[in-house]
Amino acid sequence: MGDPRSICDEQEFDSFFRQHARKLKSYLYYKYGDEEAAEDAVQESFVRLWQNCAKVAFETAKSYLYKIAINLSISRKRAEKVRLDYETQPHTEMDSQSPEFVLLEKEYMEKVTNAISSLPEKQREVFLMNRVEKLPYPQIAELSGVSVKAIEKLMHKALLKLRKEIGDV
Amino acid sequence: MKSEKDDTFLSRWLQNQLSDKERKEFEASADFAHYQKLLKATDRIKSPAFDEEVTLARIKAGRGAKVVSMSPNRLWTYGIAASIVLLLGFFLLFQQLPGSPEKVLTGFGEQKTILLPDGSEMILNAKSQAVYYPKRWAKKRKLNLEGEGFFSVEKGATFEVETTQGVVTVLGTMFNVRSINDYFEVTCSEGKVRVSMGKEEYILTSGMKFSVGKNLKAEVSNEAVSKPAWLSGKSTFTSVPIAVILEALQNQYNIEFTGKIPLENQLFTGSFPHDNLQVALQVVFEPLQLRYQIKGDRTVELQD
Repeated sequence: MGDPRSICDEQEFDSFFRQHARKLKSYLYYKYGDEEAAEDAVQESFVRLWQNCAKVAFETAKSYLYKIAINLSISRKRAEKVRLDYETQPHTEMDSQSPEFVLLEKEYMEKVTNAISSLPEKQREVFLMNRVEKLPYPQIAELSGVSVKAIEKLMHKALLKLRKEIGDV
Repeated sequence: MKSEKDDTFLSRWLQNQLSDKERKEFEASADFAHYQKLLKATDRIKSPAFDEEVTLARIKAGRGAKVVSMSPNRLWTYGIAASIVLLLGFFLLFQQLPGSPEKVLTGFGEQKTILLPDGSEMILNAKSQAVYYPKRWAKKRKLNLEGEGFFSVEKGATFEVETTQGVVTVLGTMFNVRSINDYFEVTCSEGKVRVSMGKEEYILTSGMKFSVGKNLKAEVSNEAVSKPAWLSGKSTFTSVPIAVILEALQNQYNIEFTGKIPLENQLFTGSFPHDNLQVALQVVFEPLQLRYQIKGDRTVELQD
């Protein structure tokens, strides 16, 4: 029987980092809306995780990480809206898209991203974690410390609100 | 609409948890198409850019500092002190020698982050090469660069980047050096750097760019960027000869251009992504009104 997995093991730490860092950054960004602060908090919280690696059990490392990152972020002043980037439509046959179509598409995308950024914080966070980061409801519930049912309600509300904001286009 | 009474309706729809009856009713409603379009649009939203390797390197740099600052157990102190005296003799002896060079290479489309011995950071863009002497680093911070690199330099003694065209000298700053064929470009994002080419010298401060090329006179211009775009997955150029763009495309995508290289004296301003060759070619060649054809796997033929 080998030793239990430990976050102090450099390889474990690296793979733990690769598994969680990107999602954590997205989460903080969606939640607090300041991209630079999100990156700083990710960096700082991993440094602290490393410093305290001997005290943190491998199984609880993730919640430890999120707790620290959230604490680091909360104290900061809330920043503006989240700015969202999107893929431009892949066009293999270029001529099939008229400039008007491209423009309409762009307008619609702007509308959608703006509406998402103006969602209330909780709704925005849940919506983006589910739709963009593809995190299932139970995992989002775990991160946010609420029930799955609450996440379902937030998702429903977010969609209703987006539909209303965007209107009939 | 049903979804207004039932407070998880849309959520269950997303999860495919509606009953057949509910689903059929919803799909027949006018709202359905709107929600579908909305979801299709949200699928195109990208998660914010995040450079894992750079962040991991920074975290590790921070860790190193922690190890140094740990106070040694007292019992060990005298032993360590004695060993240091002994080791110091050898160390001083070896420090005189440059030691073996460290060579860092990047392949097509590859980027690498290197933490230099003093904690300064170098990020190499695709198809580039840097050579330095780790053992001599404490005495002389100097490296040789071919290709493109971004440097974030720790405060300290002079830091030098040698290229075939000229030398860039700094004291603690962030800057980008692009040395592709005859083209030489230095952009300073923070602090102050000096570019020397033979007898000529140029001093750049934050937000300034120096460039020179085959048919380009040496020039200092403004370029307000905090970090070069290639660190976030695209390459950006301002008034750069076409040949340099073609070289950069080749380095990024491991492709080869055939046919006549056109418009040798024309300059290009714009950027191309690193993850999509089709788009990259399109955004470079369309503004220039050049026709091209992708032949096979790795060849792009330029047409008149």
